[in-house]
Formats: sequence, structure tokens, C-alpha cells
Amino acid sequence: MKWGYKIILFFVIVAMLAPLISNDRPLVLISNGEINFPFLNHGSYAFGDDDLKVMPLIPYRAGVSDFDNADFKSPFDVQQVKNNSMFYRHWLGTTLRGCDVLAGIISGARYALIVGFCSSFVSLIIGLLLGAGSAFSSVSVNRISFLQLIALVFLLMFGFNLFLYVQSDLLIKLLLFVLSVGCWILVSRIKLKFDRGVRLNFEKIESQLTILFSSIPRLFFVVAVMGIFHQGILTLIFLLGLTGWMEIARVVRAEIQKIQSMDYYAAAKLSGASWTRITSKQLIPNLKPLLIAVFAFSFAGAILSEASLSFLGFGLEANQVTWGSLILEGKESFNAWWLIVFPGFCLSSCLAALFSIARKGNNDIYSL
Amino acid sequence: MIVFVVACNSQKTKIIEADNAYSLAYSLPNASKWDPSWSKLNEVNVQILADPDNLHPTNGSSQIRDEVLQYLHGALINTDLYHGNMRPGICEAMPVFSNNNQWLTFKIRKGITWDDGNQVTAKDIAFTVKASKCNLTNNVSNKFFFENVKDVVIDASNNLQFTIVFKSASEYNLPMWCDYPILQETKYDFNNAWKQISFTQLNDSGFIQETNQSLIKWAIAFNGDEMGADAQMITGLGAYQLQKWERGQYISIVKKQHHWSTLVNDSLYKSYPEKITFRIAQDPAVQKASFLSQLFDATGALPTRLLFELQQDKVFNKNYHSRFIDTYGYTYIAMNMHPDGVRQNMLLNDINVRRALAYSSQIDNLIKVVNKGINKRVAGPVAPLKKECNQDLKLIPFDLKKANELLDKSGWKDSDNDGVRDRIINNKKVPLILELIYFNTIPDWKDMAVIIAEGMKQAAVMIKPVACDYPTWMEKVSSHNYDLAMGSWNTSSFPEDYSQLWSTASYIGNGSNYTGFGNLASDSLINAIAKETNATQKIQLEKKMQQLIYDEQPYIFLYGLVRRCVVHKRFDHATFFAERPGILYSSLQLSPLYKKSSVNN
Amino acid sequence: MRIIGKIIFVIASFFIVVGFSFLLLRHQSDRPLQAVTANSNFSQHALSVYDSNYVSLYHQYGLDLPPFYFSISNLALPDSFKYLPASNEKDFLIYWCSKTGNAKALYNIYQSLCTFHNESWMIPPSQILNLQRCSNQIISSRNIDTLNFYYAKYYLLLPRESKAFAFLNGVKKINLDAAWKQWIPAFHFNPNNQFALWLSDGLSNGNGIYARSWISKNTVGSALKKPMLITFIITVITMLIIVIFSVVFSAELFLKKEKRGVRTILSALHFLYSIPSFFIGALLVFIFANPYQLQILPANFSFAPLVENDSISLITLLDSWTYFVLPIITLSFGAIVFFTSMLFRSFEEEFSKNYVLSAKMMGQSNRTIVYKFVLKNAVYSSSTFLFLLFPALLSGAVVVEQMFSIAGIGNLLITAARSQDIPVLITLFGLIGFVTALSFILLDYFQQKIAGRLLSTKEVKE
Repeated sequence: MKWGYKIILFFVIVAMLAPLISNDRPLVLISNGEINFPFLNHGSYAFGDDDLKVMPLIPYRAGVSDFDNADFKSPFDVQQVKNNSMFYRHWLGTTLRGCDVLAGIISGARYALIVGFCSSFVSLIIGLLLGAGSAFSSVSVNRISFLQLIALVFLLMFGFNLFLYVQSDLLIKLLLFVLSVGCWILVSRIKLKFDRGVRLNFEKIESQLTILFSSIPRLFFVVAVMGIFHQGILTLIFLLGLTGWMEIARVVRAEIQKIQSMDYYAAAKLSGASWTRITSKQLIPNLKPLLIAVFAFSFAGAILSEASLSFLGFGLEANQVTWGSLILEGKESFNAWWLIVFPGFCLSSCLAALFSIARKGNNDIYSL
Repeated sequence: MIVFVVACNSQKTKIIEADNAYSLAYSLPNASKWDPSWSKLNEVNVQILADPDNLHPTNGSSQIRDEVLQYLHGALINTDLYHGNMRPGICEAMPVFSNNNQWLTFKIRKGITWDDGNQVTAKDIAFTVKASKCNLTNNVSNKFFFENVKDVVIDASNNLQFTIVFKSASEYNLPMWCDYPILQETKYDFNNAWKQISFTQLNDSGFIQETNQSLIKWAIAFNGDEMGADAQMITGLGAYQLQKWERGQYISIVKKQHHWSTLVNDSLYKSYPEKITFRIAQDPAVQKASFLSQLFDATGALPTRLLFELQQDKVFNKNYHSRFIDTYGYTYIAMNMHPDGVRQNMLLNDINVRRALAYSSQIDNLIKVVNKGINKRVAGPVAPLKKECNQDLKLIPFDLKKANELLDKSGWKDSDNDGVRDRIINNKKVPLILELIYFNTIPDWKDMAVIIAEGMKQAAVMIKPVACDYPTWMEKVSSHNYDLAMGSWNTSSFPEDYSQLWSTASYIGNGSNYTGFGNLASDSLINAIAKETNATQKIQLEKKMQQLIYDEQPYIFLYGLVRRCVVHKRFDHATFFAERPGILYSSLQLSPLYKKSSVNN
Repeated sequence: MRIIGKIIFVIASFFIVVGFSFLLLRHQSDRPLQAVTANSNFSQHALSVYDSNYVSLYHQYGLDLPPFYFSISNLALPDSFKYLPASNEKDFLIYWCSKTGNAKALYNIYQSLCTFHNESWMIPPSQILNLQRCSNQIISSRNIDTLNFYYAKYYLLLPRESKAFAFLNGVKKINLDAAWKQWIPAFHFNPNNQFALWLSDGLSNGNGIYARSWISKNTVGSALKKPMLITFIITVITMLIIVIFSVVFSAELFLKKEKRGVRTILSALHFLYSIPSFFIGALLVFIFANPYQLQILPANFSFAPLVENDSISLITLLDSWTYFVLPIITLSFGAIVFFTSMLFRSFEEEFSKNYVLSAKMMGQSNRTIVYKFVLKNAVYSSSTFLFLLFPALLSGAVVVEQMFSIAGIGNLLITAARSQDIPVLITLFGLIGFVTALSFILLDYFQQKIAGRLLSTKEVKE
């Protein structure tokens, strides 16, 4: 396995096992002969002095204050920890409120991966649909008769009016809608000799849409919208996904068009292979490395955007610790280098790994 | 009061004792040696946190606005920062009450002139009162006081003497003139709208001001944005005039060339720096770097923690005087006592829940972490520095056991063991989740909110901290659309006004009673306090009122505010005041030592 | 002809982007309400006593108009706030409650208010008025667009001769004698909408609600002027530095590529590119602007003579050069790494071509070949990215300006977003969108030119 995958796998494992690795609740608690797992829920638990308990590797949770070690304790400072044991030490220092930086970094990895993966997945779906759609529509001819077009426009308008202005039950609205759809189907059956129809050029629409969305400045857009609406992880994922699909659509379209011009594709088509067979045997295997590359690239972009937004203070909620928010806190106090260096290193290495994956997937597009 | 000790060079800080044994002014020693790194410019660079809302003489509410305006405008009476009461401003002596405390007679000092050289007369005062009284003027915060003014009677023989007639005797009748800007009639009466309108007309309910066309024209011009931002428009009796206001950057005011104070032989009216620049610096890192490299000369706006850190620094102490001074304000968490059941769940209408939240707030830890333990906790709405403070009220400790007990008692139990308490309300399981809104201006608020949320989490109450900008916070809080709101309240050494925060009228009228505290008993008590003239009786009543507030727990009181004063040592005769604004920048004199140093060089 | 089409497309995309953002941002309808009261020349007191003043203010600022005004039926939404029945709020509230989807919620609020006032409160004499005000507030805090819509429905029930239809007649003469004609699909566009109002306001620096910043009360144009200039200066200097440094670095690295140190630098470039700019900025501030470490360079741009002076001249620019160092390093770092490695690759590509071989045979040194012949072609082939650099740098400037407190566009964006200053936000947004779209077009134009040029050189050489 390449080193890029190794690093990402490491971050993924850390993120998935985050509650097991860093938690202020014990993993296993044996009291009165009963075995409990307090880390699984948030409810209260009780234990005596002679009870056996197994604490996680890092006995702190991200963002939870430790008032004994408050005010930016560096990794080398004298720390007042439980029993003075090395186990309870804050190995990478603390923040103003005494939060453990290592636990914060683990939580940051979790949020970075969640936001990065989900938003790039949203972009991937939009990009795939539009890119593949335009690539296929450029090959096959899509014609629609004038009569059909006019009927469609009228149907849309009528449906719109129906839902906006008619004050009646939903059932009647639905009935009317079904009726009008039926009318449209009837109309589209009529074929006139002189009506040669218009060609629907989906490719052109898609390319213009791509340029349009590319001209939206991503950071400006997300900051503006996050400032107006409620800040939260779902809004962030949606916004980053909505502004990140253009590159994917462009690359996917180009690649599918390239495959379509290949001899083996034409051969498969001539031999009468079904659409599903062509897709599964020709398209997907050939697209796979490229898809991995674009996905990794947009993943990296989303992680970087999330970190920048957290750094600007427009990211997640106040009690969610991310790499960007740690660096922000480090920047605000002059001496806490450990708040800048460690999260920054994790962020850089994560990005480097993703870029290397992208480069391996397609050296032409994502090489530096 | 024991105040934090500042490192001083040779002389000891001279403390001027006020009558209530609380130090109101600290005059600082002059520098004995001139440091070559010090700037020789006779200009003061002041650090502030944000822009004022405007610089309009009457309309506006922000603190920074008041701070800047006091150098631009003159007033009949000024605050005496040294003694915590009032002193005459442009009038010769303090005014005298007569006719059952309903008449107040002023006499303006001779030789006080506007920029165009005209003498200030009683006509200007009458105009100021009319403009402030007018319904169309946008001065929300002062309208209440001016509604009580009935007439301004100008002495027939002397146009410098006049009597203000009030509708009723009130304790605000004198303080309302304190630092209130006087407007020049010829300058501000743009279309001579006020020439025809008399006080009898203004008091007449049959005279509808909103339909008078010339008044509407005047009001639209007077309330206009230019009036609060344009350097040409903002002029007054003050020794300084606005030079430039670059939004988000700085406000600079320069000393007037010909000002009446140069002719009046009184040290109180003297001003020394040629230019005062108020510069915005919000980022703590920037503030710290700027003070260490001497870019700023004075401030009252540094975060407590930062000033504490700076005071540990030798370079900073070499260049600056600095001190923490306890004040009367406090920070709090307001709780919505009357949730409407639609926008908010019916959670905080229960006194037990409110008290339990107070028991589960880690206020001591908060002060220790966020403010380095410098601020002191308060138990009620009146600062412990005041005589009328009810010392019997006990601080509520961080006591999870008691909090759990109270919550259990009112039926909130963690039935599904998910770490959040819940209860069945109207056949629906409602979890105890509350939203805490705080300002997004400085990072300290966020840390405070999170610490409070953590403490309450330990009592299985879920708090969601949400950052807001000031207008949104204000909108939410005054329309009672919130659960918990963190904020701060400033008061002065003047008599405590309970009606603003605790009267029901203030709740209905969307005033400052955000919580919905109050009932018939508390309202009548507030009225009784306002009317009581006997001092000891009044203190008794006030203590009773504080007890009432304490028992109802509309607020979780956090800590008393502390003034953080910093002045550069290159200025002589610097004084720190407990009252707002803390430092009078116009009284700072550049140390004469700088001349010697230039000779040596 | 093609370029004209492109320009038309840019303008169209500008309108679409701005319109999209406008619709999105206008969705938060509480803020215009606050802004209108804070911005007005009416007094707060007068506003609170006379509710009809709100209505007239709404009309004055055009907030009663829909955000976009086009209808696809013969029925247009009337501008109804004007005709709000202010006399009987309670009846109206109940009517409105029954009409909205959220009727129960609204009714609950109203009920709880009533019981609340009766139970534990001292009833003031003006209770009725206050109740009305409370209900008013409920109405005003709801979404104005939905409200408008329901008003429209409400007025449809009125007789045809009523005032509300006078407006419709003013917009477009439609014969509404027969009710069925309402449902005929048709396209109506009315220029009397908020978006059009905002556009005309913004262009003419007018007094409308969207022409002025809601916080500073300045016209949006004047609020943007200086920040734009400062950001432009920084971006242009950064671009120059990126081009110069990446050309020099890549050429020198290429000439000494046999050395071991250079090899490690080349492989390190990939990692350097992954370092985010704000991490570099924070480190730079920590090292170079920290009073406890090395206080060599200033980190606070707001003290630069450039910001202090009214007019920006070359002298003030040169005076404040120290203030530019850290921001420009932060902003240019990633791009320099990117361009260096890209130019390096194209050097390698070009070096295998025939004209280089012939030059070598003529006895030219490697250095002259690189700087004289290869550089030109290499820069041409990677110059497409230069056009995308400008919008990218503008985005990067948001972070950098926030970090060094530079009063540029990025800082303005952050403060506007924090205080929900919608006019400034939309204008900024449209501006940057326009610049980005413009750079796309320039890129397109340039690519054609370069393609032609490279082809011609190739033909000549072969």
C-alpha cells in the first residue's frame, strides 16, 4: 500500500475509534461483579475505590476543561494531574481552559474526515450525474418535438400555479396534477410531419452551469451563508458539497468522452452488448482510478475549506474542537506554539496524503 | 477596598479617598526619567474594541460614543470623577432647586462661546430641551427623562439665566443634565422649525407632532446618518473637533485652535494633547504586540487576562502605568422566566430549575480561567461597593448535589440514561436542553459560555452555546425569544434604578427587563424606592428588593466588572477613575522631560 | 463574435450569481426589519406608537415588494403591505393564524400571551395597546415573503373594486372579469421588485435600504472603495512576487538538478504544497512578530501609513513595505511552490525538444538555453493557471487579511458576515463573482492565442 493510503487509513482508524482512544469515561468498569461499559452512553455511573476500571489511552475528552491545568500548559510544563501519574499527563499541552490538545487533535481528525468525506461525496454525486449525463447526451441525439416542448412548458407553469394559488386539499391538487400529466402524454403522442423538433443540448447546458458555479468564490460564499444561517455541521457539508462539484463534472465528462472514442468501446457497442454490461465492464473499471483521484482532490479541498472556516470562526459550533479552531486559539495567544504546530502538522500531512493519492490516480491532472 | 498593587518606580500612588471609603481616583506618579524609545508627539493613541453606533449628539447608545462625545460637546453639568458626584460644566455653579423641587435654576458662565464666536445663551438650552423632547427625535435612552420637563423659562433681564420647570419632582431631574450635549440653535434648527413651536404646544396632547410637516422635515434631517458621522456636522462646545472617522479603523479628534477654555482660567477645563486617536484593535494577539511595542498610549478596553499577563512583563511596566479598579457593573446569565411554550419549551418558569442552574454554574473556575481570578463574584444586582448592597445574600456555590436534588424535586429525571434529564409535559417527553446566547465580539465570551455549559452538563442539563452579534442578541433578548443569555450590565455610583431591569412595564414595553421578573409586589416596591426620601428607609427597601430578586433567581450573577486602566508613562498628571470612562485623555500632559532628552541628544 | 458572446455570458452569470445570493440572503427576513428601524430617520418612539409608520417605512424602502417579481400566471402577487388593516390587528391575526400552515403555533403564542397577562401581572391601563403590539411583533418577526403571499390571498377574497386591485392594474392591464382567466399560464415580469431596486440603488448610490450598509450607514460603494484598493494592491504585488520567484526558483533548480540537495528539495515540494496558508501565517507571526521571540516585522497592518493616509501614493506604499512582508509571504507561499514544480516539469518536457538540441549543438550553455529559449515556452504553457491565480488569491486574502488585520475585502466580508450586513455581503459577492468569471473569459481568450502561437513555433521548428 502506498504511504498516502496509509496515512489516511491511520486518520480514519483514529477518527472511528476516537471515543475508545480519548474519553474521560472509563471503557470498562467492574463493580460488584457487574461489568459495565460507561463510554457507550452519557448517563451517570458510580464506582467505588476498589472497583476495577479501564481508562482509554488518553483519559480526556476533546473540549472538556481541566481547571488545574488551565492557561496554556506547554507539553514540557509542570502539570497538576491525577496521582501525578504519567498516564494522566497532557502530552501535547493544553488550551486556555485546560483542554487536552491531543484529544482535540483526535476530535479534529474526526470532524475533518466527516466534513471532508460527506461534502466531497455530495460533490461526487452531483458531478457524476452532470458529467456523465452531458457526456452521454453528446453522443446520442435527444430530440423533442415542438408540440411536446410547448406542452411541457405549459404543464410546468400550470403545475406551479396549481400548487401556489389553488386553495384546496392536497388530494385534489394531486388529482389535477395526474390529470394534466395524462394530457401531456396524450399530446406527445401526436406526431406532425413538419415538426422536426429541437435538439436538447445537455452538454452545453452542463458546461455553462459548470462555469457559472466555478465563478462563485467558494470561501466568500460559505462565509456569507454561514454568517446568515445557523452554524452547524450539516449546513457546512451541504455548502461545501454544493460548491465543489465542478471539477469532478468536468473531469468525468472528459474521461467518459475519451472512453467513448476508444476502439474497445465501439467494439462492445457493435457486438450488441447491453448498456449495463458496457457500464460495468468498460466504463466503471476505466473510470475508477480517475474517480479516486478526483474524490481525493475534492476531499482535500473540503478539509482545507473546513479548517480555514474554523480558523475564521465560521465553522462548527462552539464546543466542537477542530484543527482550525485549535490553530485559531494558538494564534490568539502568542506563546502557545503547541496549539499551532501539532494540529497544523496533522492537517498538512492529511492534505499531503490526499494529494499523493490524487497524483497516483491521475498524474496528468493532479501533478504539481 | 483593596485594589491590585501596581509596580511603581519611586513614588507611591496617591489615593484619593471618597466619602464611602471606596477609592474613586488614583493619581499616578510622573515619570522621573525619559526613556529614549518613547514618542515625543503630543498625541494620544487610544485602543478601543469596536466602532460606536454613531456620533450623534442625542441619538445613540454605545459606550464608546459617550466616551468620544465628551471631548466634542459641552454640558451644563459634568460628572465629578474625583468625588463620584456632579460638578458645574458650562454653568457658573451647581443649580438650585426651588418650588418643591420642581424648579431648577441655572446660570451659564460668561465667555463660553460656540465655534463661530457667539455666546451660549439660554435659548440654546431651550432648543436642546425641545429637540430632545420631540417625539420624532430618535433618542430612545433619554426620552423618558425629558418627558418630565414642562418648560424652560428664560430670565427676562439676563439671557444667561433660566429655570427649568418639571412636571413632578424626581431623583433624575438633576442627573439627567450630566454630560448631556448642548446643541447650538442656529446650527441645528435647520429650517427654523422650532421657532414657532412652544413648550405648551409640545406638552399638549392635542398637538400631534407626527403630522407637523416642518417638524417632520427637521426630524428627518436631524436623525439622518450624516448628523452622526460627518465631521462637518459634529461640532459642539468641547475642546476637540472630529477630524476623521474611518469605519472599522479609527476615530481621530483634534484640538480646536480657538476655544473658550483657553480664556477661562480654570484647570478643570484645560485640555493638553493636540490629537486623540481612538483605534480599533480586537484581536488579543494584536493588542498585546501593540502595547509591547508602544503603539498605543492609553486604553480602558484591554481584556482582564491580557492586562494581567502584560503586567508580568518588565518592558510593559517600564513604559506604562496600569491598574485594575473594581466598578459597579456585573456580568450575568439572564433566564427567560416566561417561556411561551411555542418558541421555547416551558422549562425555566420553574424556580427550582433556575436555582439548580445557578448551583451548577462553575463561576469560581470561570473567573480563575478567563479573568485570572481578578474579578470578584456578586450575589445580587447591586455591587458590594455600594452602601445599599444587601450583604446578607450568600453567593451560590458550585454544588452539584444540591442542583441534582432541586431538579429531581421538580420532576426532571434522566429516565433513558442518555446524560440529559427529561420530563413528560403534555404527554410529550421534553429533554432539558437550553440554548445559551453570547456575544461573538471577543473570544472570552465563548470560553465563558463553554465553561458554564460544562458545569450544567454535570447536572445532566444540556446547554447549547450559540454566538450572536450584538443586534441579534438584543433582538432575541428584548423580544423574549431565548432561553439563556449571557451579557453584562453597567451602572454608576448614582442611585440604583430598579425600574429598568426589574419592572413589569419594562417587560411589556420590550425594555431591559429581559427575563420577565416581577409582579404586583415588586412593582410597588420599585415605586416605593423611587419615592422614598429618607436615606436609611430607602436602603432598607432596596435591601428588600435585592432579596426579592435573589429569591426569584431571574439571573445567574457571575462577577463584578473591573476597570482596566492603562496609560503611557510619557504623560504626566495621569489619573485613573473608578467611574466611566476611567481615564480623561484630554488631561494627559506630555512630560516636560522630553525637552531635556532632546538637548542631550 | 465569440468574445462578445462570452462577455454577455459573464454579465448574465453575474446577475444569476448575485440574484441567487440575494434570494438566499434575503430569506432571513428579520434583518431588513431591524435595519429599516435602525436606518430610518423616524424616531423609535414614533415608530412604536404609530404602527402605520412601519408600514409606510416598509413601503418607502420597498420591502413590501417581493424579492423577485415574476409570475407565471395571470395573477401577480399584489404589493399588499400598503393596504394592511392596521385598525383591527386581533381579527387580522386570527385570520392569519387560520391561514398559515403554522396556525396552531401562532395561536398558542397569542393564547399564552393573553393568559400570561391575566394571571400574574399587574395590568397596566394600556394593556390592550400592548397586546396589539405583541401580536404585531409576532407578525413582524415572521417571514415577510410568506406574509405578503397570504395577504395576497386574503385580498383575493375582497371584491374586485377594492383598492388592492388598483395596484394590479397599475402593473399590467389584466381583465380579471372572469375568474378562470387567473389560471391561464402566462409570463409576467415586473421591474418593481427588490432585486431590481437593489441593483438600481447600488448603481446610483441611492438612499434605498440595499444601497447602504446596515451597520456603517455608508453607501456600499464608498464602504468598498478603500478595502478593494488595499486588497488589489496586495494581490497584484503577490502575483508579481509569485511569478518572479517561481521562475527563478524553477530555473535554478533545473540547472542544478544533478545535485543531491536539489533532489531532496524537489521531493519536498509536494509536502510544502500541502501546508495550508494560515498555518504558515500563524507560524510566521509566532516567529517574526512575537515580542517574546523576534520582533522584526509588524503583524498589525492597521498601523501602516498606507491605511492612515487618505490618498494612496507610491511614497506611502514604500513607507509601509515592512507591513507587507508577512502577509505576502503567507499568501504567496503555496502558489510559489505550485508554480515552481509546474515550471520545473515543463522545463523537463521542453528540454527534450529539437530546438534545445540544436541550441546545445551550437555551443550554448545550459543557463542561456534555459533563460533565453525554454523559459518563454514553459511560461506560456503554464500561464493558463496565472489567470486562475487572481480569484484564488482573493479567496486566500480572506484568511490572510483576518490574520494580519488588513482592512481589505476579506476583513470586510468577515465583519459583514458577523453582523449580517446583507447589502455589503451581496455586493462583495457579486464583485468577486464578476472578477472570477472575467478571469475565466480571459483565460479562454488567452488559451486560444497561446495554442496558435505554440503551434506556429512548432511548425517553424520542424
